[in-house]
Formats: sequence, structure tokens, C-alpha cells
Amino acid sequence: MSDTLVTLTSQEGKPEQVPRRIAERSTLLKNMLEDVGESNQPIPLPNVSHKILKRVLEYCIHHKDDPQPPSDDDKDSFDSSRKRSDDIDEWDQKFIKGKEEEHNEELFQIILAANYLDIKPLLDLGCKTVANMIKGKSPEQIREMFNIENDFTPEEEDQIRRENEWAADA
Amino acid sequence: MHIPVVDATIFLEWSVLYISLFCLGVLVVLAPRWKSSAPPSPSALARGYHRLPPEVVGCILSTFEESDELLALRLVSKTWAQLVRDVAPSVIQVALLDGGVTELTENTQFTKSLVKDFIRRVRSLPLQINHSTVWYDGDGFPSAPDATLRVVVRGAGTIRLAARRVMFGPRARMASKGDQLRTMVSVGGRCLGRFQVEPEDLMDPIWREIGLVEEDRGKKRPLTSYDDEEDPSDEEQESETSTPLPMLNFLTQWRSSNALLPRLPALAEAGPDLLIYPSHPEDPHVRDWSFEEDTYRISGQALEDIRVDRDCTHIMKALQEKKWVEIVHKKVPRMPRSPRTTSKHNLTLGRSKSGLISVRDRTAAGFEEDGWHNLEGDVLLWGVREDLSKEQIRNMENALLEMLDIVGKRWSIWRAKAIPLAE
Repeated sequence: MSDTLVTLTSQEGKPEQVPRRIAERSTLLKNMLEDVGESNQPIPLPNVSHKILKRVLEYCIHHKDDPQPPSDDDKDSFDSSRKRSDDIDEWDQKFIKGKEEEHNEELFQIILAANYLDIKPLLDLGCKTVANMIKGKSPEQIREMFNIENDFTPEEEDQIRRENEWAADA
Repeated sequence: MHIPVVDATIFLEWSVLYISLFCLGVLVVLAPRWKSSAPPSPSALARGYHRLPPEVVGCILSTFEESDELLALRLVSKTWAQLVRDVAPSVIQVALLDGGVTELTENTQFTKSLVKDFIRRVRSLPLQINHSTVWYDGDGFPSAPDATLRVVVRGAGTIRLAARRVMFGPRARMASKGDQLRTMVSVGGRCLGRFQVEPEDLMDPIWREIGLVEEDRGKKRPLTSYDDEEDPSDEEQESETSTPLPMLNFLTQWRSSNALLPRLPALAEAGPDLLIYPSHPEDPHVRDWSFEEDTYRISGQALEDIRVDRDCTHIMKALQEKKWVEIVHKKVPRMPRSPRTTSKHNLTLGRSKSGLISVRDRTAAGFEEDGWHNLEGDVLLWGVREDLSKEQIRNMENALLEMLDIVGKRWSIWRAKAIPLAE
């Protein structure tokens, strides 16, 4: 059953056929396929462009033999392994980097797609990559980077800095 | 031979045109490379970022752990500050223990307000808290919500959180060696970073201190642990050595030290519902009281029995048999059917029309801020039998609260939540 092909339809209506095993890297698709059972009906993915879908599938194919990440229910809530941002393997780094000229645009689209399709490892990879872009930056630089408005009053900022002092001293 | 004469102006125009075309060509060829080596376009990043749902931004922020990084994140905007706060994973039952606020403020760089805020923050974390016990210390604010937690500041840049799932509540379990519990906790709205939890190393001394670990038998065993799925072989093995003595010890210890008083509510939840009031046999207020053993049945659907007993024998029996049905009111006069006043103590002991016991202070003014000390001499054990319904437990609690009305707010704060074991 795992060798059967599943048709996924992208935002643009373009079909993409993948082995069910690959599609099931996505928890969303896995659940849908389990609910639907044997069916040749294409699965529409209105939130994912064809280009990004192909990129996501590229990731899923590469990681097809990885063990499935534990579900939220099963997962030990103390597991913090996925919190680190410096443990991205080489292939993943190259993958997420993509074509340099499209990197930033594509990165966020991949994150959104991973979030939508519920592919936790890919979502983590995207998040870690963005986190690495933020690391070492000042609040001003982060704001500028993401076009975020500073809504703190100077007093509020000062309060946060003071609260942090002891932790930094420890 | 005819040599064409080129007009200088035309030559100049063509030259300019050729040079312009050449430059244009160079630009076309090199532009993409320049673009690719340029810093990330802020607009593309910003566009991408603003499309991310908050939970994904939270996921990004959860990868940070250094305090300076976290500070930078918190300073970006209020939304980010909130997100940084929220990324603390759902983890453990935590509380401050062992001296609570005072010790923390003395031994660390915590300020009291920070600790208070910390407590508030810990309590607001999406933790798997079964109950909400608040321990109060002398300063009058909570020093120990729920389970246990100790913040230890060790050396430069290392802040550790020692925590242990405490046995309060039917589903709780003790953390054990090998549990690599790591979490991130925000303190005072600030995410302090990632903490390593080392339950065994740090917590056992504390448990021994409050008498919840049986140490003498060479076996560390939490007295209040009552896992539903206890290994029968363990139970069998322990039956030979298990005696009510540890609890008796505890009572002794309790009597001898009011310092343990703040832990009362936690015990109340541990028992499954156990309230032990400090008993001071030497207290002149209670010395002259008569002791009678009797059993009262009140409010049939709620309280099963109230026993007035002169010793802890049946408490121990109940503990052993895990039949948490008694309310033991020790060293108080036999309660009459009609309210009466004890002339010495201005206490009204009686039962309301509903059959519930009330212990009231006739002259409220007689009870000052620490008026609850006037009840010293009572040992009150409140238990919930496993087969009681929620309604029965609630009634029981109400009855108890009515009984404890005498101490006013403090008891209402200390009230133990009934643990619905019947579920």
C-alpha cells in the first residue's frame, strides 16, 4: 500500500504524483490518506504553490527513511533536541539555502508549507534557519530586518534590561 | 585611392553609443551576481516574516537560550516579548521549595518582586499542574506553588533549575534518575534560558528534610507516592518493612516545628487530601480539655465520620488501609449537638442545621492576624475516600471549610482541593 502513488494538486492546480510513503511524511497528508483510504482522488493543497510543493517533496524524498517524529502526545515534553539551532546537517543546510537569489522568499514559503502540511522536521529546519539569521543581531537590527515597529516606551525597555541584569551577571 | 573622411562629430556619437552598449552589457551580465552577494533584502525578509503565524514565530524564538540573545528578542517588540515568554514548553509541575522566597532572595540575586513575579509566571506556564496549592511564607505571599522547583545559580552563566515532579495528585510521578528534563522557564516575564533538571541530585535532601522520604530503612521511598499502577511485587516486598512510623515521625516533627507549617497544604494534596494542623501538647489552651472518643455522623451524604480521638492510632490505620474517610479532630472537647461556647477559648463548637461542624470564634476580635494559632492543639486529618463522588467531595470540602471558618482567610487560602479519585 505504501508504494501506491498519491496525487497532490498545488495551488495552481498542477498535479504532482508521489509515493504514498513520501506523502506520509506530512502528518496532514497522512491523516487525510488514512481517513480517505484507498482513493485515486487528487489531494488539493491550495496553500502550497507548485514550486514550493516540489521543494517540500524533495525534502521528504531525501528524508524518507528517517524515523517519524513523535507526535505531540507521545513526545516527552522535556525533549529539547529540536530547540537547538546549530545542529542542521549538511544536506539540510544546502536544501534550505536553495538558490541564493530566492533564498529569503522561498525560505518563508517553505516554513509556511511545512507548517500547513505539518512536517515537523522541515518546520524546525526552517525555524532554525531563520533563528540563525537573527542570532547576534541587536533589537534594532531585528526590527529593521523584519520591519517590526518598536512599541516599547523607553521606561518599558529599561525595565526589561534591568530585569535581565542579574541573569547576565550570574 | 579614395579615403573616406569621417566626420568627427559622427565618430564621437558612435563611440559614445558603443561604450554605452558595452557598459550596459557588463551591467546585465554582472547584476545578478551583485544581487546575490548583497545582504538579504529586508523587504523579502519582512514580507516572509509577517506571513508567519505566531506559533511559528514562537518556534523560531524557542531556539534561543542565551540570556543576551533572549534580552534582544524581548526588546524587539511587545509581541516578541510575549512570544518569548510563551515558548516555555509545557513541562513539569514546579514550585519553589525550601525556604521559598526568603531563601531565594538571600542566596541569589533574585529580588523579592522578581521572585513574586517568577512565581506568578511559573504558575501561569502551561504546566501539567493537577492542583493549585499555594504555600505561604512569613512574608505573606506564595512561596511554593505546586510541585517543587529550586533555582540554583551556579558559577558564571549557569542557572539550573532543579525540579521534580512531585507526588501530588493521582497522575503525578516522581522524576527519577535518567530523566533528562530540560526546559526553558521564563522568570518575571523574561526567558532565562534552558534549564537542566537533575531531580535526584538536588531534591532528595529536601524531601528528607520535610519527612517525605523514608531514609532509615536504606530505601528512599516517598511516603505520599501512590501510583495507580504500582508494581505488586514492589508492594509485596515493601509490606514487610512498611509501617506507619514515618508519618508518625512526621507528625512529631510537625509538632516540633512550626517552620513546616507552610507545607501543610501540599501535604493536604498529597494525602490525597490531608490536612494536619500543628499540635502542641504543651499548649495550656488545650491541656485542660477533656478527651472523649466518639464518632459523629453528620451530613450523611457528605461527611462520613467525624471522630474525636485521643491518639493517632486510627489515623495510622487509615493511612495504611488508604481509607481516607475520617476527619479527626484531636484534642477538642466532644462536640455537642447544640452549639456551645467554651468559656476559656471563646470558641463555639457545634453543628449547623445542615449537620456540618462549625468551629467559630465568638469574639472575632479575639483572633488577630495570626489567630489561627489559637487552634494549636488540633490535629485535623481530612481524607477523601476513593469511591466518593465529586459532589460528595465538594460537600466534604465545604464542611471542612465551614469548620475551619474560624481562621478566616488563611484557611480559605490553604484549603486543599479535593482530589477526585473517583474519576
